[in-house]
Formats: sequence, C-alpha cells, structure tokens
Amino acid sequence: MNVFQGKGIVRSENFKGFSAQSSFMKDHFIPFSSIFKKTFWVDLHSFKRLAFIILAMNIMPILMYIYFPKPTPYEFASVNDILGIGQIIFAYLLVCIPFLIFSSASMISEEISRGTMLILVSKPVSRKKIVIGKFLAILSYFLLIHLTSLGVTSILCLIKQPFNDMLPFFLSQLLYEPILLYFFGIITMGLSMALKQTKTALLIPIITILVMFLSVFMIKPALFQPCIFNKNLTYYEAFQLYHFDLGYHIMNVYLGILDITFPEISQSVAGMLVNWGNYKIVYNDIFPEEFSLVRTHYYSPIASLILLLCIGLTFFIIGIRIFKRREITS
Amino acid sequence: MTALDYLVFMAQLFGLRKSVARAGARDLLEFFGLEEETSKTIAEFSGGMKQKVGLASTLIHGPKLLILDEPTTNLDPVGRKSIIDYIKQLSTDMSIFVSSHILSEIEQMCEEVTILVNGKIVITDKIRDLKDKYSLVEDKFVLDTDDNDLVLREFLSSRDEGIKKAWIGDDSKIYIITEQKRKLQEFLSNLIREQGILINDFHQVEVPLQDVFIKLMEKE
Repeated sequence: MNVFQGKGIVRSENFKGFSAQSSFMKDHFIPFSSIFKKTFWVDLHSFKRLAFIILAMNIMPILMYIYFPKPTPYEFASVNDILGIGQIIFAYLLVCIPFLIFSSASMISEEISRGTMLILVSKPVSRKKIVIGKFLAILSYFLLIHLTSLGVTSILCLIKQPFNDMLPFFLSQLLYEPILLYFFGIITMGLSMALKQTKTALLIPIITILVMFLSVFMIKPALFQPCIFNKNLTYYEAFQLYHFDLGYHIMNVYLGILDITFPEISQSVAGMLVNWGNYKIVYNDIFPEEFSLVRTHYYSPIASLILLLCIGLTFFIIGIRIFKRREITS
Repeated sequence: MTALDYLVFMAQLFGLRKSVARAGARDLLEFFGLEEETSKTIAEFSGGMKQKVGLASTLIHGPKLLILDEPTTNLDPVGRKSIIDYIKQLSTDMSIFVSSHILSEIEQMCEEVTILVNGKIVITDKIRDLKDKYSLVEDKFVLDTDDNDLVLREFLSSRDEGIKKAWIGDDSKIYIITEQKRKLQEFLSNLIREQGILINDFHQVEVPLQDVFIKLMEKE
C-alpha cells in the first residue's frame, strides 16, 4: 500500500480501513467468497444456459400438461405416481447431472491447461480454498437451477390438476436432488483435480451414469432371475451385488426420503423400482399368477446415504491431495 | 469479465474489501490509461491492453517488489514502448525484477543486471559499469558534417591520428573506429578550425548489452 500512497497510483484514502479489517475477513472470508462469486457469476452463470437447462428438465411435466387428459384418470391422481421417479431419472440424472458434470469436470483441469489457475495459485489463497470455493459455487448454482425447475414443475402440475400430494412431492424432490448434486459434483470435481485432461474427468462420471442406466434395463433383469444354486434367491442376492450397485444405493436414498414424505409408497412407484433392485417380485405359492412387490431392505436408506457421502468425500480428498502436489505452470 | 471486475477480483484474493478494491482498481485503470474501457470485457482488449491489465493486477495490493517475466512478449512496438515506460515509472517507487531475453529492452528498463549463462549467475552489476568493463578496446563514433566526403578524405590521409578505420555508411554518415578518443577529438577541432566544417552530429556508438552478454558467453 505504501507504494501507491507514495506514488499516488492508488489514492491513499482508498486503503483506509484495510488495516482495520480482522485477519479472518482478510485471510479467509474475502478471498474465499470472491472465488465463490467469480465461479458462480462469471464461470457458470448465463441466462441462456439457465433457461435451457430448466426447459430441458421440464420436458416431462410439459408433455404431461399437453397430453394427459384433464382431469387425469383416478389412478394417476398422485403427482408422485406420474412424475416422481420419472422426474428424477429424466430431469435430474439425464439432464441436470450431466450439465453439472460438464461444469465440474472443466473447472480445475481446464483452468490448469488454460493457465488461469496459475494466476489463482500465485495469490495468497490456499489450493484447498480455491477448490472448495469453486465446488460450493457449482453446488449452489445447480441448486438454484433445481429450485427454479422444481418451481416450474410444481406450477405446471398445479395448473393441470389439483393433485392431492403436491406438497409431499415438492418436499421429496427438494430433499433428494441436493444429495444427487453433491454426489456427482464432488466425484467429478475430485476427478478434475486428480486427472490432467478434462475429457477423462468428464467421461468417467458420464460413463458411470450410462452404465447405471444400461444395467437397469439390460443386465439387471437377468440378474433378478432365480439362481441355479439357490432357487429362493436371485443372482443379484446370491452374489450380494447390491453392495457394488450404485443405482440401488441412489434409489434407496430416494426411498428413504419417500418414507418420510409419502409414508405409504404406492405400487406404481414400487413397480418402477424393481429393476433398480429396491423392490422384488414375490409370487404367491398357491396362485403363481399373483404376485406382490416387496421392498428388499439390503441396506437401510441412511446407510446408503452415508455410503454415497463417503464415496464422494473420498474422491474429493484424493483429488485435493493430488492437486496440492501438482506443479502448475503457464 | 471487465477489467474493473478482474482487478476487483484480484484485490479480493489478497483480502481487500470490495469498496477498497473497487477504488484501487479504478485508480490503476486511470494510471494505465484504461479508464474509458471499463465497460469492455478483457476478451475485447488488444494484446497491449491485456498486458496493462496484467501489470495492474500485480499492483492492486501495493507490493514492494514486483517480479515480471518477459513483460513485453507478444506485443507490437507501440505496446512494448508503453509497457517499458510504465515499468520505468513504477521503478522509481518500488523494486522491479524483470526477467527477459530481449536485452535491448532490459537496457531501457533496468539499472542493474544479472546475467545467467547455462542457469548459473555469471555477473551482477550496474549496466553502465558492465558496458565500461566489457566494451571493445577501440571506440566507434558516428559523424555527420556538411561535407562528409572531404572529412573522410582527411581522415584516411591521417592514419597517425589514431584513426583505425573510417567509412561512409548507408545513412551517408561517417563511421570511425579509433583506439585514441582524445586524438580524434583534437583532429576534429582542427578540421573545424582550418576547413570551416559544420558538424551536424557527433556521438559515440554505445556497446549494446547483447555484445557484453555474448562476450560473457564466450568467456564461460
């Protein structure tokens, strides 16, 4: 400061109060919040992007608005039955999360390759703070998208028909999406820090999602057949594949939230979760053509949630450790 | 991102409050003559303007020492001159360390120089002293008179005056190499007196820093 005061480049009165700032504000809060704000408003935000994602996320409610008769048939009077899982799979896992992955993957590795990271790390801000600031900005931006999209969805549904379960639907979606955003965002961020190429950091989580979906429709139905070694168990249960099935844990957390918001989960929702491994078909011994859907309970939803949180955190911590040691040059 | 926003962001990374950072950033933009460009994004700036913003961003927190690596790279001659001028101005108030391969620019910006050969420090000295120390044995002069042909003939016919070599260059001026500077000056004053020659220009050609560097390289 004395340099400017002497030279008059920056007028001395402009720096009044700087020395009076507390060291917490100066060393931690201001640099951290500036990284957060810059990532949120400059790197991520654009009106076009916001509008496009929200529109894409609301294709299902829009189609429902256009094509479903009004009033809807009695069995579809529940908005959760019509949209619940469909909205999670389409709007979140197939639209919002890939956008989040795309943004997170380029956040660190792209900045390193462009040389802009060198400017940041040459300032008195720790690399941990840079990464956490950026991650929280991504998370907040996509939470904003999520909230706006959910608002639009709810309005569309309310215009369509006075569904009797709007509030529980809104609440379950509101609680569930941040978990998905956290999980995929933190993993991609970890990969972005650990890997040198944006492409690789982008491909790994995208492939994970694709494999998760393909397995639900192409591999898992075969695994739910009775095992030749033990007719009472499916292959999925016999080999305890649910331990490694990300799709199962993701939907198990959703079921945990539904346990709170919709205490009695409907058969149509349960039916959609059979292929994910959260419900199984149990045939009646006396009348084999009759069956019921039984929840599997391999893991409690809390355990699945902890597992997802821990997997994400592990990726992030490994990423930070690699990023801290990485040599950053122009 | 505009230049103002960028500078405010940089200042905040150093822990400056937004109001303080904004005022400081405005002052710096004014100093670098960019106050009219605050609404433009940096992407719209020319190379020279970008370099100015880069330089301004290093000054935003008031450092006592500035380390600049190749500050004039990729700039056109106007941009180069402008950055060199700013560095010279700033150097009156802070220590500036410039790393560059362009020695002619170093000569314009710096007082002291450290020369590295193969990654090892070979010498650290003031540029003036270094030139005196490593200049050639003979001195080179440039002379321009109202009758250069006559003066050249006089020079060539008087080898005993210490003039080693003299010729007329492409710019029609006389170039003289001598080992005895004093004798040349005396010979020239005689010419003025006796022949009535009018002198337009007479100066000694400075040894470029590059020659000193090459000499040091050869020595190493």
